[in-house]
Amino acid sequence: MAQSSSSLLGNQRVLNSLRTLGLALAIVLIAVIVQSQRPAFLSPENLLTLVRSMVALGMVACAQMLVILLGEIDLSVGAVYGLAATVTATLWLGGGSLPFTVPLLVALAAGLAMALVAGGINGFLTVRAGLPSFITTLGIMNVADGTSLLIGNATTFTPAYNDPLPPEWELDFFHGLGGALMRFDIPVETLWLVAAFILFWILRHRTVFGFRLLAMGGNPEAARVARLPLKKYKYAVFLLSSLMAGIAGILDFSYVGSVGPTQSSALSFQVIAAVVIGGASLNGGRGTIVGTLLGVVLLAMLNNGLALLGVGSFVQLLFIGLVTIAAVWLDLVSQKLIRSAGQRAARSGEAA
Amino acid sequence: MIRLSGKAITKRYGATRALDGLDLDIASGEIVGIAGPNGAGKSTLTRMLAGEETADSGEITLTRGDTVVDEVWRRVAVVHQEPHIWPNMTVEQNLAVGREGRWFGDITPEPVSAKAVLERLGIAGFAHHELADLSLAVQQRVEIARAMLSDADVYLFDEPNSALTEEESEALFATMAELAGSGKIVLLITHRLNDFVRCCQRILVLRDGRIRCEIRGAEISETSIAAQLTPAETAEREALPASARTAPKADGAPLLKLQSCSDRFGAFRDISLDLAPGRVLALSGVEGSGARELAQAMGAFRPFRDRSGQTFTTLDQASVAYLAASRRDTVFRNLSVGDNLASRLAGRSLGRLPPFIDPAKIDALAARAIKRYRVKTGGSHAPITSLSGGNQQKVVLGAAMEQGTDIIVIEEPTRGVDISSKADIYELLRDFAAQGRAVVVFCTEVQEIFDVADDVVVLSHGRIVGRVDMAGIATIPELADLLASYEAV
Repeated sequence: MAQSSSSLLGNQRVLNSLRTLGLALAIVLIAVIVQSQRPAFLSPENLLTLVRSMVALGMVACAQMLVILLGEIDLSVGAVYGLAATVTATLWLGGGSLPFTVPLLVALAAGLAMALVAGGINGFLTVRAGLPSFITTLGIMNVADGTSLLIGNATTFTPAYNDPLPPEWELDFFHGLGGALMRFDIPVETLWLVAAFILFWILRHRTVFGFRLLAMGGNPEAARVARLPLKKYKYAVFLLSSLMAGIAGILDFSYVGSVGPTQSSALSFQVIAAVVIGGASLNGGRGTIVGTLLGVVLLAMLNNGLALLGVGSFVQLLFIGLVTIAAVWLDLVSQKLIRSAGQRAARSGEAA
Repeated sequence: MIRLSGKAITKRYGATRALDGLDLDIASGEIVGIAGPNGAGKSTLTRMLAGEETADSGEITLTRGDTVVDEVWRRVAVVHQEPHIWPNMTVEQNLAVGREGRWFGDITPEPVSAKAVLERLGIAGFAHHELADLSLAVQQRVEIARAMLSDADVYLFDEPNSALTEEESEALFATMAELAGSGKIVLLITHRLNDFVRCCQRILVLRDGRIRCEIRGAEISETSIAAQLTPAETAEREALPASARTAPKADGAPLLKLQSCSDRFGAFRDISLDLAPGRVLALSGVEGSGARELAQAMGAFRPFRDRSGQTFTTLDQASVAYLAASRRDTVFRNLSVGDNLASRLAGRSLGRLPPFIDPAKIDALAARAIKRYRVKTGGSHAPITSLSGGNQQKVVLGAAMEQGTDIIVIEEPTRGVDISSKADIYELLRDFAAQGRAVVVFCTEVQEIFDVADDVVVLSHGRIVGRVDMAGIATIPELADLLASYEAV
């Protein structure tokens, strides 16, 4: 039969699933190691903690993957995450540098609007002014951090102990956004992660939007000749990325119950690490949602597992750096092997 | 009835007039060839038809029956010389880009017509392969497939078969004839004069931005076109038979000895050959025969495997310079002509105190090289992108020759190069060999083998199936028959 294993290897779907499988195996391996040392790892309580820690990372990473798919990068997500929460908190609760307060819903809208403004500026500077997005978003990261500190006056906001106390329904509503616990103590936040995952999967793999992102990232010049709307799409991914960062910031505020000045660049780099571990190429044109999710799981699990093992936070940081490099390196090597198998398959097909 | 017309179209870039009062009048149902030396305005015309440029004065109009089409480029499908495709996507996905149809769901091209086009181009088996894994020939056919699938009135083929073999080209021409037969306008731009003869009913010769003459029907022949392109030069070159110019067999030890070598990925097997000094060796074979891969291996661009399974490269035996087929992979587009010429050098040739470079020394080197390799340029500081394709190729070749290696391996030495530069390039290659070195070329054109080679090695299915000494060959048809007979085995 012509459909031998070698010709199957040329099939792109088969290749992609092989790579995803490798990542899944790595995750299982880490789980087995941690579990063998600390039986509490797979306990329901710890699994809940684990999932909870993935929410912001996962939501932002899904959108970041689209930015990276297009060959751009968004370093400002961590800062926008903090900005949206701080703006919401200051407007709602007062106490920052703003002399007035507004109702919760208006404050929420303003927080998200602020995120969208940041995304819009990222898009504008990258598309219109033609700056590299690395520079644009690095700048906006600092601008957003500075704005957060200015507006919030480096205060820590806690709705439940605020003076004056917001109306009861506002407190309930805000808590219900992400912090409230459902059955089995699962926080509402996790629903958002699941929804984001499904929506982004559809967007990436089942819409023309995702399909064209793939094309534009793979060969921008050919995309220009084919008259694909490259500029619009760039705006769209930067807006999406900032919007998801804003939503994640507000949800985490809701879950934690307070928000204060943070070092926000950490989230940006974790997000990018997760996307890259998930098999996306920083050159554009390569990246899947399932891969990104697995990257998020791997990172979250490492954080969690190392903490359980009692490794100090300094060593944790070192570990995560090494694992990021190793994961991407392994992916590169396996990609090379798979690729040469694919080429061999293509060649034998050509000769036949 | 479709009609493509234009009157006195002009386009200037700074001081140069790319198009200078071009008149066009082309009706549906015919294949029209557009010939012209580099810089004649062909690519400007192409970009204009594709809607990437607008004319300074004059306008190209497209009429269907009595109605005038608004945006002409929407009705024009272009097959670009360098395929504009997506290496990170599968063949099938490539066909769907830009014409996805619906906004949600699994994005695939319209299955029936896509399958038909892929089958006709002989690449249906690769539908789910990623393009980065496939050869240039397949990529070029994907570009053609994209054009075929678009519902256009005008089909413009710009060097569509530069990576295709004779057989594949023949199939392409048949497809083009069908398009013309179904009432479309088909335009062909190529440097291969033979292709004009084979498929065009009318040829427009473009020179200095306007149409200098038109050749029709029975008057079309390689000589008649060549005479219009560069009147004085070509006639004398034509007469020289291969046997009269091949290098005498020199003694001397072979520069490279290969004994039952094969490729790591199975592209070729059982290769034994000696590369004699002073000779130009041509490797010939269809895409997938292993000839191209053998050239890359001889250029130390991919490893050989010997009988015992050990891998090695030709660098173990001799010094080798390798030039890839596409200028995208050989030209440093961000550098000047002079810097490109110096790009492969290091050490003393760039300055007196080696790790440091001396700009004056590079300038002197560049000035010498520009003269020696007959590069037509405004000077060594001109950007390489300001040169025509033929002159860029001379720069690339010059840079490799400056290295002074024993062997130069070059894939498709005159891809996208005009006639007069071609002759220069062949001469440069032969002069290089004459210094007791050797040149290996991978060729897709019989004409090219005839013009440059001393020896030919023919590959088929990864094995050497024939060897030709060009001293015994007098005419191109004789060579073509011989090569075809080897490949048929």
